Amino acid sequence: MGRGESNNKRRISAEEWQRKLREVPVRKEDMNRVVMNFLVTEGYVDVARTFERESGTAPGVDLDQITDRMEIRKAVQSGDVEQAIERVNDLDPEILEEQQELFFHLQQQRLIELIRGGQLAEALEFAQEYLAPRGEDHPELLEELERTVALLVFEDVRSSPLADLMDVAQRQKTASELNAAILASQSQEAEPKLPNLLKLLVWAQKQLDEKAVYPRIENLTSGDLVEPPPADD
Amino acid sequence: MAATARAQALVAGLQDDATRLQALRGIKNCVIGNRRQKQQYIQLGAVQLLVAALQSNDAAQLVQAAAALGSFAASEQGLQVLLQHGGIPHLLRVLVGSSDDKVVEAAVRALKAVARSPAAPTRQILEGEGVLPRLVSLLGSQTSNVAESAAVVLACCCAGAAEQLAVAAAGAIPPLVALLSSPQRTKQEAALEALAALSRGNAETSQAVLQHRGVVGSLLRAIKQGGSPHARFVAAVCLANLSRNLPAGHQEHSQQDLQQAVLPVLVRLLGEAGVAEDVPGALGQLVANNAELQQAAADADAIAKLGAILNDPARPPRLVEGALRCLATLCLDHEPHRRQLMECKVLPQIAAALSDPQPSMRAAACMCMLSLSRSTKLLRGYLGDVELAAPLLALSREPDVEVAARAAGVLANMAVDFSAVKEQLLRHDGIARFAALADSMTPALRLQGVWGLSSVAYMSSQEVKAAIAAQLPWSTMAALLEDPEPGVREKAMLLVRNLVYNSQSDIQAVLRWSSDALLEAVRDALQRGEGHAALKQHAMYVVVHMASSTSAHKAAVMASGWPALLVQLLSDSDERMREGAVWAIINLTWSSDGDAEENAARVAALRALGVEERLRVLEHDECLAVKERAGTAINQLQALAAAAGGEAAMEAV
Repeated sequence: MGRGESNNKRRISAEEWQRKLREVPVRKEDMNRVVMNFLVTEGYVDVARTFERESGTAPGVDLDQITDRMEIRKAVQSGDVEQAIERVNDLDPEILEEQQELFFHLQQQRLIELIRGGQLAEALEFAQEYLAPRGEDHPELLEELERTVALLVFEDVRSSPLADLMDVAQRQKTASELNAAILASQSQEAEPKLPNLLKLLVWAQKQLDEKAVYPRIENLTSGDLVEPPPADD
Repeated sequence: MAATARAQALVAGLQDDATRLQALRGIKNCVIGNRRQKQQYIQLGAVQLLVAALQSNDAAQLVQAAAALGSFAASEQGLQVLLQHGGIPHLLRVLVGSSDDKVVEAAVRALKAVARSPAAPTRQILEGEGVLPRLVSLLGSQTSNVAESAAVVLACCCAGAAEQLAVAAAGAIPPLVALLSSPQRTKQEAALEALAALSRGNAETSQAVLQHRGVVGSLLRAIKQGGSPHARFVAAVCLANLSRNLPAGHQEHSQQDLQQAVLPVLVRLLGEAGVAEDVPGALGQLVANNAELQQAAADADAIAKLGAILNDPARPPRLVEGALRCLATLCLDHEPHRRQLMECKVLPQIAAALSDPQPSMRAAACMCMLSLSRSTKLLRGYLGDVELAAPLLALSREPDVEVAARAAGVLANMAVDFSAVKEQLLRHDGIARFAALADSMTPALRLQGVWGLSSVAYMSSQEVKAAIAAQLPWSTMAALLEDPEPGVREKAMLLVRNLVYNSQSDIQAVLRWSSDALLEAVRDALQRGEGHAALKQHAMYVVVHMASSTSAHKAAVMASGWPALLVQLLSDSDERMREGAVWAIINLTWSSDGDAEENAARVAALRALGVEERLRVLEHDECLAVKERAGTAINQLQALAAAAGGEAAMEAV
């Protein structure tokens, strides 16, 4: 901060700041709900159950469904796509009935896993029986389909231009897409509210920096208020 | 192939108690989201076995069977097979009879897939014993998406007033209103859909919905930006439905408020990328018969947005059709709106839609053209730039009378003298088509046919008039002058008037065409036309034209029953008829070269009928034109009398 600049800004002492903070009422129930929202969206089911018991905060969703959702995500992440598909269909058959692109990505992932496991005959059959007809029914998927089937051509896929498909990041991508679809089907947001609240805090401090000097939060995890340096004059 | 073998094994597994559950689950996982697998299992006869499995007592089997059938029902072919095998009653029985939450969940989800299809047997669903109360009670369910599914089934079943009333009577409205404030978006949307379907065009159910305090407030919140486009749309439709049936003196809102709130939402939705297919239709319905809202829609740029839809070849047909209908409404009465549409440069697209394979698309394009063809400016210019006559002539042959009449209406509008499309129309033998329509058994088509001919005839060449007479036998013309429909009679008389107008040879041609029956036919039609001012005027001017023609034509008028009628019409209550009659007298008593003798005879005959006394009365007529013409006529009569008197005096000397 340049000399002279701070003179135009209002200085707010730690004492005054604390007084102002005390004037803002935050209801305990609201805080609990933000916490519960985080636990539920991130899938910490056991913690959410305990938190519900101890704080009396309703999770707002069926916690069993969260368990299902987490296990489905885990199944994709560990390469068991078939199991993931079966469990999604148990949870809500409408998801894969209607979301053709998502379904395609799951089948694409399944092909990738077969190739990864060296089951080339199975991979070829799967591509012919399930993936190829999909391209005929959904021409918008054709390009991606061709790219996927091309995996079968390379002897060492990992050094091919298609290496990205074989990457673990691809599993992660598919798992996230499926997770988001399940959350949407349950009217839940894909992101918890807490990160956004923290982003808002950072933004608000930036706005305020232009006008005032005040005790700032520098470290989001500690939340400590850092006193501004004493005035120059 | 391995997949086929697997499918056969699974179907076989359905028939064995020990393997059934496994097989049900396997088939379900194969068919979900997979059209080809569905086809394969249908061919293997799986659907029938799945329906049979619905009679099981085992909850796990019921869940799997219902889910699999729900997946089949999501495809058109699958639903047909399900219906063929009588699956619906079994599904309903499982829904109503089971106390297992998972079974009920699977059953209501499957029923949702059935209900969403246009081929859904909605009546069978609603009339199933205990089904309606069950669905209503499920609206309060907390289990996953059971409440949403029940709401969607109810929404889809509200096909007509009877169904809407049945759903309302079963107590669906309070739980649906409660769902509007659910924190879950999917529950809100499903409730919105159901309330919109319940209130569609139904005053009774709309008022039942409005009795719940806060409904309008919830809906107004739901149309705000932030919600999904679909939720905003359905909420807007719901508000529009309710606004039509708002009881007078509703505490918080007026019809106008609500409609003004809905309008910008619908217009904004029109411009969004994935605009729902029903948005233009809903907008068209909202602004129909309301000039103020039509103006507001145009001000919000609705026409450009609808034009952009027509301009985009990738848009789904239903959306394009809705856009055409909405544009037809917006351009029906407003010239500036028509101009705005022309600025979108979509006339070729509209013209192409006139020949679309889909009948409903052709009908929509035709409505749009009808609105545009009401503009004299566009008729003079733009409309001539595109090939319109041929597709419209083809449309005028459609079996759907409403469409055919509308197409004929557009053609009739385009047949006017100054139209840039008239040439096209004549080139494609439009006269023959109009003549055929004028001979139709359907009054609406006769009207447009004879209207078109009258427009074609106006100020046209003798060749065109001859073509009309050649296509339309006089016997048909005479029948049209006696048509049971007053509108047809009037246009028929206008046709005669336009045919005789302009020259002596035009008159001669019509006399020949009618074998000299013209004057009588016109007189009869006039005498039967009491109360039809336009028809009477057209008839009068047929005679006015003849009275101004050759000596022979004047003689024909004098020899008919017209002179007495003309004298009588001098006292008609309609000033335009009085004026016409005075003109006829003036023309009849006007001597052209060399017919002084005949003229004297005509004057004497009219005098004998008391024409002068009647004209004297008209000298004090309240209508200035009548007064002046009457003066002219009297002067003319007196001048002739003086001349005749002079001659007589000279002879006496």
